[in-house]
Order: sequence, then C-alpha cells, then structure tokens
Amino acid sequence: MKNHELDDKLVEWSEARETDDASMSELTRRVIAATRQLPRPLEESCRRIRPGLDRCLWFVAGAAACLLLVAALSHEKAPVADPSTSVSPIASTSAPPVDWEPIHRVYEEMARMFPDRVRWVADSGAQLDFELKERHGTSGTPPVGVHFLLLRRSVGETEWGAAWEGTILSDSEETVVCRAEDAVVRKLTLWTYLLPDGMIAVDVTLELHPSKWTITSSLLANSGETKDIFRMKTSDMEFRLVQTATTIPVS
Amino acid sequence: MQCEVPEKSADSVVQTSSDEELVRRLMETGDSVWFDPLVQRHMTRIRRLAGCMMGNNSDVDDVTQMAFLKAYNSLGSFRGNARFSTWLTRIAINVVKDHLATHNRRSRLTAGLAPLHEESQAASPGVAAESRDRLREVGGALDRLSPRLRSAIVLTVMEGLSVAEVAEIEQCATATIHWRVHQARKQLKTALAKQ
Repeated sequence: MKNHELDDKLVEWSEARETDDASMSELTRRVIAATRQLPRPLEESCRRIRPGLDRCLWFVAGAAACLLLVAALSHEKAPVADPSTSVSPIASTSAPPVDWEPIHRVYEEMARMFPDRVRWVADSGAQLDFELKERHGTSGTPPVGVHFLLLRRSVGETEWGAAWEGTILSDSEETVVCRAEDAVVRKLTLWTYLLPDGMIAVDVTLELHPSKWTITSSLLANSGETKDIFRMKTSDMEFRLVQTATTIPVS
Repeated sequence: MQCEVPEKSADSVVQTSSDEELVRRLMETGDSVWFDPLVQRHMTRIRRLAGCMMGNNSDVDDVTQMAFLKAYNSLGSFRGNARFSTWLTRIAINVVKDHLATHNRRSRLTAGLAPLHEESQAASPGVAAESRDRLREVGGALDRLSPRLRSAIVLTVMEGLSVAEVAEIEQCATATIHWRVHQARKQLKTALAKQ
C-alpha cells in the first residue's frame, strides 16, 4: 500500500467520526458554562523561569553532569582502542554477553540528578551522550537497553574483531539521535518500543564512516535476545552488526 | 469586577480580535467571557482531534471539555511564544494521552469500534457493509498504535499540520516527528495488510 492510499483511508475514517452540528453546539455550550464556574486564571508566579532560560539552564546543568559522569567513569573503564587501527578478537560463533551494568549506572545517576527527565543515555566507549526531557514525565515502562556490536574480518580470516560498539538505554518510544565523533560510526538513530506482550521493537539506522554506508534495521526481539541484523561483504572485508535488546528494571 | 465588553461592540471586537488578543483581554479583565470565542473557534478542531486519538464517543466529549478547562486554568502560562492554537493543541494532546494512560487497552479497543458502527448506521443506512468494515479495520489498526505514534499521524495526516508545527506541539525535533510518522505508517500498513 502506498502512503497516499493509506492517508486517504485515514482521512476517510476521520471524517466518518465527525459529530453533528447540534452535538457540537451542545458541547460548546457545556464548556462555556463550565468555564463560568472557574476562578480567574492567574499569572504564573514571577519565580518561574522563562522557557528559553529554562532550556539554557538545563543545557548547562546537563553538560556539567555529563562532564562529571565521564570523569567519574573514565578511570573505571578499560582503555578504548581506536577501532580503525585495532581489532579485538571475538569468537566467530557468538558475540560476548552484554554488560549492562555501566550504562545502567550512568542512567540511574542521571535519573537521580534529573528525576523523570532522562530520555536516553548512550555510551559508545569514546563518547557519552544523553538527552533530557523539557517536562517531567515517565513512560510507565522500564527503559529499554540496546547494544550494538559491529564486527569485521578480512576475507579469508575466521575470527571476527570488534570494530565498534555502542550501548543505549532509553525510555520506550524515545528517538535517540547520536552524532558520534569516532572513526567508524558517524550517526546513530534509534527508536524502541516496548510492546504490551514484552517484545521490543527496535528500529535503527547507523551511518558509517568513511564510506557513508547506511545500515537500517527494523526488528522485533524478545528481551535479552541477540540477533545478527546486518551482514555485508566487500572485496576484502566482511562486516556483521549484532544487536541485543533488553528491558532493564530501574530501582 | 469591571467588565470591558461593551454590549453593542462586543461582537465586532470578538470577531476581529486574534486569539492572542482575546487571551490578553481575559487576563487583563479576568472576565471569562473573552474565552467564549476561543472555545467556539477551536471546538470543532479539538473535538475532532480528541475523536481521532480516542475511541469512546462519550469520553471524547469529556476529554475535549477537560482540555478547554485545563487551557483556561493555564492561561497565565501562555506567553505568546507559540500561537494559541498550537498551545491549545499541545494541552489537548497531553490531556488525551493522560486519559489513555489511565484506561486499559481492552476498554479502548472495544469502545473504539462500537461508536463508529453506530454512527455509520445512523448517519447513512445505505452505506455498504464493506465500507463500514474497512473503516472499522482502520480504527482497529489506529488503536494499536502507541499514543505518540498515533498523535503524530493524526496531527500530520488527519489534521493536515506541517511536521514543524507538530514538532512544536510535541516539543521535540522535526526529525523525531518524521520518524514517528514513518513508524506509524509502517505499523498501519502491516496491520491493514493482515486484515
């Protein structure tokens, strides 16, 4: 089905739901009568910060928090290898289990500093990103963790090596957009949705350096499930992208 | 309390005043009569928006009323940074989402299908059953979308707003709205193809 055909159906459905003039007039009368019962609306307190300034302050606070977090974590993390020059050996049969603990800790720390305002946190080893909501609100569902591991090997080799990996912890339905400053991934766009039956919908687009390849995947996964979502072979290299998605309970 | 609305010229003042001007007058005088034209101007759009986001007809009227009352109570926070219509739509969308969040999926699904059937029969008895079924399938597919995807598709396709306007209403990046509309279309196509 083409987009315009779908849109026509949606508009037809919408028009079929429109109510008659008499009902609309009655509702209008009801609302107006109800507003008569309300007290005069008050000017917001002068203590309130203007939205523009509010955003600015959040940005400054967020940036400061990010620096603190990076500083706190940097001495605990293993040194990050330059993916363009170094390849860590990975078993060809399966990817190693994902350690969710570091990103979980960052998320919890952010949530402690900015209650109900953390949209997502992403860690690609060399870079830590996050985004805050402008207003408080929880999705009511546990955050979704997604780990990506890009593997590569020269044609003829048997062992895969990790070229890049990234871990994201996000509220369900948040759109994560990270512009990475490393040698492998240029931009990551991720959207997750936790279905009522516990399955996780994961849509991802990875734009890679330097070839400007774009990997796009849209899959349903069980929590904790690891899947190969992309394979490609060039004249001299092979690539695999492995995805693990899980729900993470937050205390 | 002094009322600034003169008997004879009130209509002309109301007709020519912008939404933002009406809000300003209400805040200055405290007279809720300045809110009446805002209700009249935006009722059809907000009621239709709530109807597309929800299923249950009686709930739609209640939620529409709730949205206007919440807007009235929040007028002090309206700074004019956005248009009044955008600001009101944002409130309505949030009221609908809060309402949906407090009702379980089953009640929404069953309530969402029945009124359409009744309306179709009452309004046009000659409408083919096939057409009714097709519309019911669309309603069912929409009901399975998450509130965020649903609001994105409702605002862009059914309300005809631009992606930039929807991004302002949802207070997120335009890329996010593009992404949500894309997701919504994909899920709707899959759902409708199965039926």
